[in-house]
Amino acid sequence: MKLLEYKGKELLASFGIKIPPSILVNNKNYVNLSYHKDKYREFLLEHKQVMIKGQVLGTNRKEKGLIAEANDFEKSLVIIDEMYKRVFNNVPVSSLLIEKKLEVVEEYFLAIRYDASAKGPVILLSKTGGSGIEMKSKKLPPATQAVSITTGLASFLSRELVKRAGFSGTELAQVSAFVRSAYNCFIESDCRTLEINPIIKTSSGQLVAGDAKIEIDSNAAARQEFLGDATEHEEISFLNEREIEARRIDQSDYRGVAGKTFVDLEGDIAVLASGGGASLVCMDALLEAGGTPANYTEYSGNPSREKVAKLTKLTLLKPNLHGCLVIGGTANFTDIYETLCGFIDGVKSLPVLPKYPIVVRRAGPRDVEAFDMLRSVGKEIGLNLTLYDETTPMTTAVQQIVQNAAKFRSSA
Amino acid sequence: MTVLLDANTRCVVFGITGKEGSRATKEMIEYGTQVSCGITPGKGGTEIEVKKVFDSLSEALAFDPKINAAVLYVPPLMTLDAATEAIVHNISLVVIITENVPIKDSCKILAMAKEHNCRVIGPSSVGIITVGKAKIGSIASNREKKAFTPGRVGIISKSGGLCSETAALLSRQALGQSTVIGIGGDALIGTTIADALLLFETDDDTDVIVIIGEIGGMYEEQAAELIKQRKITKPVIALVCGRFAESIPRELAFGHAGAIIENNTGTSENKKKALADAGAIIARYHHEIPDLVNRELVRIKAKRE
Repeated sequence: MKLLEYKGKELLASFGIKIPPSILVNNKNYVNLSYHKDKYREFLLEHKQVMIKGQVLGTNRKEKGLIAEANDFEKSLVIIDEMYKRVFNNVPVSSLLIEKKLEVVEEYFLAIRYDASAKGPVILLSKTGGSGIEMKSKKLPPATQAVSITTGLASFLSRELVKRAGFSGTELAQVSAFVRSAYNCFIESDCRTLEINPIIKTSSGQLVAGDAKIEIDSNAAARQEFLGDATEHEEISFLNEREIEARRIDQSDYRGVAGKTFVDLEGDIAVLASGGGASLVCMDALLEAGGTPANYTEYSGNPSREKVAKLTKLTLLKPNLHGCLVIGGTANFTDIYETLCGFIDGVKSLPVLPKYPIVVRRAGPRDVEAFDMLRSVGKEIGLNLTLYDETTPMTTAVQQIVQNAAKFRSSA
Repeated sequence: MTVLLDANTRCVVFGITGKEGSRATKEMIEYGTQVSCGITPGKGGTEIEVKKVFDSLSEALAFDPKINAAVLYVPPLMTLDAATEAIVHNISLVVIITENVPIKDSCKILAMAKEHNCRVIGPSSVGIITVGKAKIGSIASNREKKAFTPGRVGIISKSGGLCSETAALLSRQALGQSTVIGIGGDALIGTTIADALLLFETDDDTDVIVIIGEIGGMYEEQAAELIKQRKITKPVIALVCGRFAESIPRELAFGHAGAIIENNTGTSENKKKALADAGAIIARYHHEIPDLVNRELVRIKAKRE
């Protein structure tokens, strides 16, 4: 769960990290224009020079015109109006963080994340932060420090890291304290990633978080009270309407997973895959065989019949399909009969029954029953079904749908 | 594999009264695993599948001091506590089936396990099976005899479904398996591909090892490093899936830290290249695995004769 900048900064501030003076405005209460205008006018009068920052998830906001500077009230209102009209990664800009512009002396970079080879948190720190961090890091790699989760980040360890990053003198203690606050925030708030770029060193010598990119472990969200209603900020920014709908299907029913990952693609073969690993194997094979997937989605962990039905309907509602592939490996405990009944329920709920070929390759608990059901229903409602059990490799079934779809496409 | 599971393995089931826990208990017993008893706080004194249920591991150990393995079927936010209970009581093998465990908790579990010399499999593991002898977890549920046949091929897979699918594929061509380990697909796991390779290297029942890897992380690269250093001398056949996912153009909002620390790792091409350069045999398709395995088994047989 990725946090918007303002929410991330609030979190950092609660761990003692300085953030710029700011106000948050959003266009939900923009209707009450005069109030917000007055509030903003006061803020601008006090701080003279401000940064207006669109609150969206994503990188390079500056280049994309979502960060602007202002010192003139009337002109800045135009900037604000323009920014509210913007849509970024499918999501309209609905809130703006307006901050005092700081006098920047230097910009540093800090990131904390879990590292698989260290099997624990790793801190990255660099004296050269700011925009274009990737290039800067290639030239001068950040200093790194793995931390033992049981002993934590002791002061001396933090100072060693800070020294390795090139700091000296009084800055050693100052930057070290900043790093330790950030580490505490990372651990206590169940972060998966915490990145502050830049850390601004101001003309008065203070260290201030200039930005905050924080991802909270969604598995730990239930025990993180500060999140409150922040779940609404959950990353939907890269998803289209169908993809968001698929996620809703998944969240509306706790039984198993169905639709948590749904990606609309350009092709004409609908895909309902099962199993995290098997679905990838099948998509790889589909592309290798020259197939053109209309989507990727996956269900597993024994989802309910209703959940699979909803996901099936959503998947097959896409226009201009020329084939459908229902595929999975040998399930360990997903009930094949229940889930394929869900598939049929979904098919039956479509406004028009599909005429295009459907290839099913499934195996696992109650698969024999499931195939008997598919055969009889298929006949009854006139589906073009090809069924494979575990004696046929998944990749053969993939090749079959590619052939069948090609035939159907040329005859259509 | 005597390294992980043998006739002396006595397993306790955490969360035995839950739906998945009780089903797995039944299956494990049927397959021949010595299941000692189970633990569900608050349900002590009851019975499941003729096994006693205790409130705590201390009580379970008083009942049966020979318990040396634990399998966890507890909710995600209770996993840290259950794993801690098992580890501080010096249980030497802890298999965590639970998915969606917070990464901080996994991290603490792994750190504790290291101090106590405990082997952790998972989280998000489907379990482990030593074919024809015993299994721990949900692996092969319902399919033990159909998909899994005894033989000399070891399988390591992040994906649970592909454990069964790969075993079934091999079994159809009369290529039996020794042990199959579902290591789990989380970012932090107790037994990595490299760790599992080392187990198979010393396992007298295994001649050839199959790795089913995925994009992301660096466990495949670590495995390649191990093979390169000749710490693995048995033939390794590797499939890396997920190339498709890389073709989806998506901007990564948190790319920085990852890109910096894991520059050029994580993609399927890099993983395949690392493994191939180290001497592993790459399967392009899942269905190619049996032929590649067979070729190595024939070669080994010829060498022995």
